Amino acid sequence: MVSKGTKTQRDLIVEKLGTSVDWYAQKLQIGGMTLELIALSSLVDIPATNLRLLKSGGEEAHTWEQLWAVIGAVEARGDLITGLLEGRTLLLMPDGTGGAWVQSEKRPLNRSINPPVNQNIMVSSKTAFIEDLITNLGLVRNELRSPALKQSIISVGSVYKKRILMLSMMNAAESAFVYDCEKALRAREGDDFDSLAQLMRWLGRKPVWNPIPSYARTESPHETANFLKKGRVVLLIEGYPDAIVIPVELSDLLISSEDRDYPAIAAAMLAAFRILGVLVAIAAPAAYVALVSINPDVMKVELIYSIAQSRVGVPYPSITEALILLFIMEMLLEAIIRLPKSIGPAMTMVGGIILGQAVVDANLVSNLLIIVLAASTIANFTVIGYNFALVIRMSKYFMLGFAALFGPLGIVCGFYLLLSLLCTATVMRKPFFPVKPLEQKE
Amino acid sequence: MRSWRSVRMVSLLMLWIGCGGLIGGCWDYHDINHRAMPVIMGIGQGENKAYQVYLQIPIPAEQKLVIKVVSSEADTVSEAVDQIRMSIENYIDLLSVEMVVIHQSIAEQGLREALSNAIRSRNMSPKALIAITDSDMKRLLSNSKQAVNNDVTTFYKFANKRAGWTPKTAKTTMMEAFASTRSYTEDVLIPIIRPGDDTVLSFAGSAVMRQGKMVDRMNAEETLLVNVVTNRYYGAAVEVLSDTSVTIKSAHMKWRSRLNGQGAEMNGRLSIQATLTETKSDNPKSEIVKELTALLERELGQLMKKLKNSGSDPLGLGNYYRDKIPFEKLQRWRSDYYPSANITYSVKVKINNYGSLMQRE
Repeated sequence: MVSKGTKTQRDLIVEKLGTSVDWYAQKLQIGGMTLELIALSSLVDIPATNLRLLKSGGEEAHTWEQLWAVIGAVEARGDLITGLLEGRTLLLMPDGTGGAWVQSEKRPLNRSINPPVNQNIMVSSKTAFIEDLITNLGLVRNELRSPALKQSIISVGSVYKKRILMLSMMNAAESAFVYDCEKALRAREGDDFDSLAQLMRWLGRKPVWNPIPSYARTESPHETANFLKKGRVVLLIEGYPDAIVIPVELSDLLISSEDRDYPAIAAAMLAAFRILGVLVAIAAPAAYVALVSINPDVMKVELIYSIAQSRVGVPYPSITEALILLFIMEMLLEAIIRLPKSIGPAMTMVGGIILGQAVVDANLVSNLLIIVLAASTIANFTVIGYNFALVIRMSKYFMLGFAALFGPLGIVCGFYLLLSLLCTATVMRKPFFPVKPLEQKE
Repeated sequence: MRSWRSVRMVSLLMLWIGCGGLIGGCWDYHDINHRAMPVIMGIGQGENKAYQVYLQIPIPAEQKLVIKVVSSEADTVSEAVDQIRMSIENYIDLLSVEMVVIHQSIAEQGLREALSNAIRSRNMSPKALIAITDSDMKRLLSNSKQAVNNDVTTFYKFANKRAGWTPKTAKTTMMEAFASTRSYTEDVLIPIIRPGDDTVLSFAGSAVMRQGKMVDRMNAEETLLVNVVTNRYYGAAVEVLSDTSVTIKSAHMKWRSRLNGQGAEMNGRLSIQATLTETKSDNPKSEIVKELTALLERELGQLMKKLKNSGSDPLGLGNYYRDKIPFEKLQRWRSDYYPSANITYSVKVKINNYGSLMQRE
């Protein structure tokens, strides 16, 4: 029983929530006893809850505890405010003490389970996570019916609480790692949750300035189950319609769990295309600049002259040319995200076809560059996960700078630096680029 | 504390990249459309000065190429290129030169220095082909203008196995020619080209080089034999016998070398696979084999005699003695060992296709 000084439980609640628009308190007579029902009407369907309570409370009850048993209430321990904010219904004795929780009929605030919105799934389970934590847990359980599924709930935050559910498979995950993750999160229980980037800092992501995300996101419970089976730790965060998988490994960017459903050779081909896609996306604009400005001699003679002809009259160096077109491309990508779905295709048309053609006709860029950048932009998104595609989008500029300075040699140096970055990235002391011993846990 | 350190790290990184910018020298780069990339370089004897250098330069313009032939006279090749550079609007980049044509008069004086300069200066690609001409250089370059305008790779195609190269012409890159001027044990052949009447070029055999000096000439048939013996045979060449002609499909050479009291002794086993292409009479198989074997053995014997007389070793036979002759004696391979070497050939011919018309054995 939490009651400080002379204030009753009711007083404490009224003090914090009494002025809210959705504050709801009502006297009820159940089982011959009068009690007060308190809930937030925006979260709880009050008439339905009332109706259920009145129906179940037919029997005569003599004590407060007896009444609990009749209507299925439990003693309210801990923070009552948080409970109300989570959408539970509180019963109080008329004197404002003796709080008990009763199951609410919740308002339907969540969307139903639908196919994923941002992730296309070709041939596996089509369900996707929603914003509700417990539904998400159910979806994972539905994929992975196993008592080995270990869960721990951590609620972080001081002003507001955010529940984070940490899942792992006891037989597959490294217990020390799971323990470390949980400890790191528990240590931050007093801090308010703000973003995933902050969460990753809590989890000891290193180096801090590293642009490579240290987690993979998936909307699919099927994929999540596969990650769990591989021994990863999965975080379900309240309000996030995806699972956060740590640690992420390089292969997660290139091999999707969907690939396991295809014949091995076909899956290998897909992985090879994705690797090629990443290389093209990163290196193609850089290679254009390096070859056109610095070392044309490494190309075949036919190519040298056809490129030279396509660049006749272009007034600035190739790096400027590439940057101009890349910026247009980036603006197009950004604008399409912001635009309503109905205008998107029109924008693609204007941006891609009309602008591209006009820019070549106006002799502002060479038409080879259009081909190179289109290929690079398409290839950019072959990698799995939008947050990794962003890193590739960025490293393109990094490589472009190196290529403009040092030519083909610079591309080699740039790749060397990118690889070093990959190799140093860790989260919770787990490397991004693991060199695994031969025996595999499954 | 940590953020302080990462700020320092990032600023160090920026400084490091900034320093990289200083050494990059990117302000000296020339964009591809501001470069003039000559396809052929011709080096002839000047009237007043040592060299007359010609460059055939395709200059990119919209939708087409404009081909220019520019020449300049100077005492060194690089000075001549420098003079041309002044009068051409673009930056001249010699790295894409496909072929260097040298006039016979210069080749006879020796190419040792010219080749070392070209390789040392790194201005030219060592993969560039080298050729000798005995005709007017100006005409040779002007003649090929139209062909180059249609296809800038014309010269490259002459030497490309997958395009127009035949084993009857020699193919030598600048690096090979340079290496041979420094080698104790190997020389090269350099093709001799002339402007063709209807075609871009006509091949007039090849020049036999001895340590970078042209000492003799060879005709197409002899060049073919050299390519066969050095295992550079590729494609198909026709050998004409008395009544029949056969196409050599593949040729493989294997050497056995010995050093005894009399000097070097070598035996080459040449295995030839051929098909019958034309025949006038119904000669039996064995006859054709015998005839072709005898023909090749005779021709190889003559070739060796000619090569020994010139003292040049384009077959690289000396290479087989690198582990047998001490190094200080090896430098006298061309004078002491090679002329007196006893070189024999045993030819093994296999005809694997007589055509379905040939029934009799």
